[in-house]
Formats: sequence, C-alpha cells, structure tokens
Amino acid sequence: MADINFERTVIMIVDDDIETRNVIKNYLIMFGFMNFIEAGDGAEAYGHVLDSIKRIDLIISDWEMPKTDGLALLRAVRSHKVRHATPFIMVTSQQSQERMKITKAKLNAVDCYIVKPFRADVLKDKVWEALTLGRLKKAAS
Amino acid sequence: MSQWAKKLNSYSLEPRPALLEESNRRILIVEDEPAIAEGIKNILSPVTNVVPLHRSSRQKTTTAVPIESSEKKQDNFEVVWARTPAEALALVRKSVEQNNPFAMGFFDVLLGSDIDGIELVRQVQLLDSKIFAVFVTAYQDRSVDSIQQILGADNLDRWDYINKPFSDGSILQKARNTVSLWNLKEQQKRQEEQLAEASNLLRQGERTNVVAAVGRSVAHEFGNLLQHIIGHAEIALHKNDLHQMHQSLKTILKAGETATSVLDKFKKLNNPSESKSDEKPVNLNQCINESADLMTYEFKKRNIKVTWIKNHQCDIVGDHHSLIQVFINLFTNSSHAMNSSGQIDLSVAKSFSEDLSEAWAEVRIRDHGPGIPKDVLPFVMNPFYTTKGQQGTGLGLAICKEIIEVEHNGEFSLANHPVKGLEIVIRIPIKVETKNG
Repeated sequence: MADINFERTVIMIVDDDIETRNVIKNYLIMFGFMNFIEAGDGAEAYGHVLDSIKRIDLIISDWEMPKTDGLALLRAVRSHKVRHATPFIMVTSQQSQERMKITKAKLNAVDCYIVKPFRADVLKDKVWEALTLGRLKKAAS
Repeated sequence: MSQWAKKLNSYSLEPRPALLEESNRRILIVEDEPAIAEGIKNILSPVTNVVPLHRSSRQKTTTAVPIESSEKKQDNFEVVWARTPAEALALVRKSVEQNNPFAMGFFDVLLGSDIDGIELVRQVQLLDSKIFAVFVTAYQDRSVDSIQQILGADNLDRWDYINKPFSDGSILQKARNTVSLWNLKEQQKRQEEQLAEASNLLRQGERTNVVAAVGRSVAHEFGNLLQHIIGHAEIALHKNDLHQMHQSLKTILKAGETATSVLDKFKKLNNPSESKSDEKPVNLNQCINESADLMTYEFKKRNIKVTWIKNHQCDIVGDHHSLIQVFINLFTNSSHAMNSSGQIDLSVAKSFSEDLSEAWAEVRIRDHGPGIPKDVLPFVMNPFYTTKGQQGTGLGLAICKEIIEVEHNGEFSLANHPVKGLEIVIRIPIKVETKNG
C-alpha cells in the first residue's frame, strides 16, 4: 500500500458537476496525489482514454451524466485493447433497486463502488483498494 | 406493490354472492280494503297474519314493526300494510330514517282519502326516490301518460300497474320482478361507486408515479449538493487555511440554498392535500417553469434542450399541483420519446374569440422526437393504453386530459407536428381583461 508513486500516478475524474469534481480532486490532493485529468462526461473522458500517450492509472467516474454516462464509459474502457484493466471507481447518488440490479450485473467489471455523498476516508479506502487491485490484475496478465 | 395498488387489487367487480342474502325483500301494501290487503299479503307471504296498522294512532305507527314470517318461503318477502296515505308516508319516512327501505309498494289508486294512490306515490317518492310503485286499480281512470305527468319523467322507470281483478300469479310475479329490479339497481349503484373509488385510487397512484420520477431526480441532485457540503467542510478543516475556509463556506451556503429551493418545489408536488379544496389564481408560465425545473436532471441526462418560443404571461384559475402533474407527465413522455438528445419547444400565448368576449391561455409543448404512429394516435389518450409495457400504467395522458378538461374546463389535444415530433396543445379559459392582452 505504501508504494504508491504520487508523483507519477494520474487519476482521471469524470463528473458533469464541476463542484463535485472539485471536491474529489481536493480530497485526492489531501491524500497526496498530484496529477489529474478532468472530464465533464463519458465521451470527453473516452477521448483521453483513446489518447495512447496519456498515462491513466485510475478512473473515478460518476454514473449519471448527460450524453455518455459512467456505465458506457466503463464498457468502453473494458473493451479497450490496452487500457481494459484500468482500475475504475463508479460514483452514484442513486440507490434504487434497478440501479442495484445493474450494479450486481456489472460487479465484475467495476472495481469499486461509492455512493454520494461520501467522506474523504471512504474515497481514500476505495482509491487504495482499486489501485492495489489494478496492480494485481497487471501482475496476473 | 404500492399501498394503492394493493387496495385496488382487492376490488372485485364480480357481483357479490352475499348480495342475495343482503337483498331487500320489503314490500309495502297501501290498501283501504282489509280483505284485499289480506289477499295480496297471503299471496306474497302466506301463513303470517296481517296486522292492520291503522288501529294505532299515527304516532304509534312507528312502533308497528312488520311481522316476520315464521315459515319462510323462498321469496322471503317482508310485507307491511298501511291502510291510509298518512300511515304509508309515516312508514316510508321511518324506513328511510332507519336505513331499512322498502323495495316496492302496491298502491291502491282509490284510497277513499283526500289524496289518491298516484298523488301518494308522488309524495312517497319524494321521501324515498328509490322505491318502486305498482298501482293496483279496478278502474282505468288514469292513462299511463297522465300518471307519468304526475310522477315526473325522472321516475319513469320507477312505477308499473296491475289491474283488478288480478290473479295470484300476476301479483307474485310482479312483486318478484320489481323487488329484483330494486336490488339490481342498488347493486349497479354500489359497483359504480366502487369503480369511482378505484379510479380515484388509480389517479393517486399515477400522482405517486410522478412524485417517484421527480424523487429520483431530486435524490441525484441532493447527492451532489451534500457532496459539496461534506466535501468542502472536510477540505476546509484539513487545509486550515483562512482563504480556503472562506471559499468552502461560500460553496456550502450556496449548496444549502439550492437544496432548500429544490426541496420546496418537491414538497409542493408531494402534498396535494394542501391545494385540494381551492382553485386559486395560478400563473401558468410559473407552473411550466417549476415543472421544467423539477425535470432538470432528466433533461440533463438525456441532453434535452428546452426552448421558449413564446412566453406571454397567463394567469388562470386552477389547481397548481394538478397542472404541475400534467406538465411533468408531458415532459417525461417527451424526454422518453427523445432518447439520446433533443429539444422541447414551449409556448404560452393568449388567444381571443372574434368578439373578444372569450379568451384562452394556449400552451403548446412540442418535442423533436419521432412523433406517434398514425395507427396508434387515436388510442393514446385512452385509459390503460400504454406503449411503455410494464413501465407505464397507461393512465398518464388520460389523467392529463381529465385534469385539463374536467378540472380546468379546458381542451387537451395532441397531434404530430407537420415537421417533426409530437405537439400537445392545451387551452384553458381565462378571464377577459379590459385591455387587449
């Protein structure tokens, strides 16, 4: 857990709500991270995913967004040749039953789940969990 | 399953088997000749002796209760005899008061009293509008039309007649038919009441659907707002920097204010009882704006742009909540019709009749979706028609139409727009002002 390279790690934050993006970024800065890519919806985020020069170590994405939502982004990332194993944290503010069903169905594809509103500690746990999982996946492949 | 749906399912519109036991078998005989009364009574309900009620004083008639037959025949009629019109009226009045009405009465036409049988029935039916009357007469002294004239057209199907001398069978059969007719009418009325209550429940259910749809949107919005509040509080605490704290507190306050206004709108929608009794002056434009605000998340999610084409201020008399329900329903339909992205054009304008004596607020809501196929269009406003499968109740548009047409005396129509999409036109009458709007 200790061996996260804060100077190199790049986290992409995807949310249509600028203020929420801001809060997540500030939380991550509090944890020690320094490099971020921000996107307002799934399509914009996928543009960054397709840019092969960019380093992306973790994606934190809102589920409910206009145009391309978080689920579409997750699917796109998972079917990408190179980046399919990128750790992915899904953020949602809805806990209705239908959402839960989809959640269960997609549990294998998404690394972590987080429900708005959340405290910094919760995000920290999830970020570390996702990054550890990502490293294990990389080692396995 | 929601509470109202459960209640709704408990309704059975089948005739209830218990009805036969509960059915009203009470028959009144008004006849001044004891021998004839006895005769009729014996045909309808043999064994029991007829107790002439006229022996008591008028006040005491109320205590005279019909005698239950000890040997019940299958007809099971409960027969009560009144000798004079006054007795008959007292009995009917009491029967209504005690909620134990007569299904029918046999009325002698010539009663040897100041009023005849026909006038008596007119008065009886004023006391009990449901009672059936069968006139018993030896004289063809009244034509059917003249009786109808006295009893009125409203009671046309509430009377019949039989000529003396009558056969046992004809009296019995008349009694059987008339009594079952009374009970059938009651059953019908009860079922209509059940239907009305069921439809009321469905309306409540539909409102619940609207509230639930908006609720999801509000939940999303609150998730974000709470995130702003919690996030900024934590960041401010962590950084311990005065400038950051100042910024964070500002953001927190703003989030709080936004949450309050969202909650206010939601509360208004969720509390229909508040407005149930009163029809107040309502600004139509404000209703539409509030509804669109409640749909913000839905519109944002589906990338739908809302454009005002015309926005004339229109004040009408109506029910704020019902109107919001209508617009949210229509906006939901429109946004479902345009899946990934689209546009909704709104227009509110005043229109006048030629002589300027009448004015309407005309609302047009047009989406840029695929419209409705021609073969489906005639049915979309029918209750229970749905194109959304399990998702829809098929009541949305039917209820919108009812709210506009019944509650607001307006007109509700929809048609495919000549260029693209579906256009809904709502016209609600407004009071004509002296100046031209």
